[in-house]
Amino acid sequence: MASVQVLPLANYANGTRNIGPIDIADNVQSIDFNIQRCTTATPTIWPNSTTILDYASEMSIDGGPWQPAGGFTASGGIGFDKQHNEAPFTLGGGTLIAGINRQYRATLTISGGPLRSTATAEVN
Amino acid sequence: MAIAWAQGTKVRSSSTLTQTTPGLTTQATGSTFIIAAQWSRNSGTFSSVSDSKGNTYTLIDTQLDWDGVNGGARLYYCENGTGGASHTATFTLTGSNGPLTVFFGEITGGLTSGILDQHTRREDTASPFTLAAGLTTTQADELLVAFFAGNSGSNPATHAESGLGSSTIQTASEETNGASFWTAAIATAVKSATGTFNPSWTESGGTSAAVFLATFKAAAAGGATIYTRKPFSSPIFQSRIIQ
Repeated sequence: MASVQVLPLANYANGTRNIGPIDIADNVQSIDFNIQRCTTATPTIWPNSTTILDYASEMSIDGGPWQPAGGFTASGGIGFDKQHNEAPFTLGGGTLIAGINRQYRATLTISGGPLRSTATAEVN
Repeated sequence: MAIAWAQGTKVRSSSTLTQTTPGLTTQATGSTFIIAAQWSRNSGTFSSVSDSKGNTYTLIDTQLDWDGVNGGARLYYCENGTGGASHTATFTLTGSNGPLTVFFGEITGGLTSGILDQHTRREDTASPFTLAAGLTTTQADELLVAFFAGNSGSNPATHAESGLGSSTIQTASEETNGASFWTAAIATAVKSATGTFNPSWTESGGTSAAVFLATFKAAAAGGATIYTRKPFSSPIFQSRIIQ
């Protein structure tokens, strides 16, 4: 697994940001977006439940059309993990379609911001 | 065309409210679509399910609440739905952000009306995880779709299904990272003859599970081969009747 920072810690204003397109190695099976969340220990990170992040990814195979590759919508404030502990991150993504000469891109849309956080892309 | 699980995909996250699957290129008409999901009930409450083609989905049985207050699981189908390129499914919760795993799949070669035959689900707290009793199909050539929602914390969690007889775990619709996500899997099998079927799942690190089984009818049941003696002569000739 490789982790690449895609958003350094900062305040991100409302609007749309584009990531990529990037080339994907043929053996990559998934790309997950990992963004830091608000917890009791990190109260300044994405604290408001009215701040919404929409993450939508797309991929293209061998120069073909872009097609949806998975996405999610999350709100700020404290979220939870499987054990119902405070979740320090939202980690999410979908399965990449197998193929050669693949490219990946994503769109981040923030509303109700600004959104203060940092994010990485986890490549598996 | 024989009934088949044509394709599937998945999306999952550790802490969100809404998930949209990757896109599939599905048949324009005639397919049945499946959406299966599990999430944390102590974080989020079910809100809606939809797809990018405007289809309407029917809940199979009811929501299964399991694993204490943690797990919620639902299985949906849409028969004879509209398909096409970039076909995605979206599952939405309300409440607090929590883990959510969603599968989306396409069944081809099924009836375009009345495709759903048998169905049930339960929580099982002892491995192997099964239904309380098997389901008996009512026609030949049915597709069995078994949805398993687990609680393993292992990564990877391994899944096996041995109760349906020669089933296939659809790896595109399997989540094995129990450290970050709800684990789950779909297994399918096509049965050429009627019978009674009960999925039997194991999951490494799993102590409890939600087990669903739904059976779907082929568009045309398998033909029976009969032999007819031609009047006043031999030899015997053979004809095939499609029921």
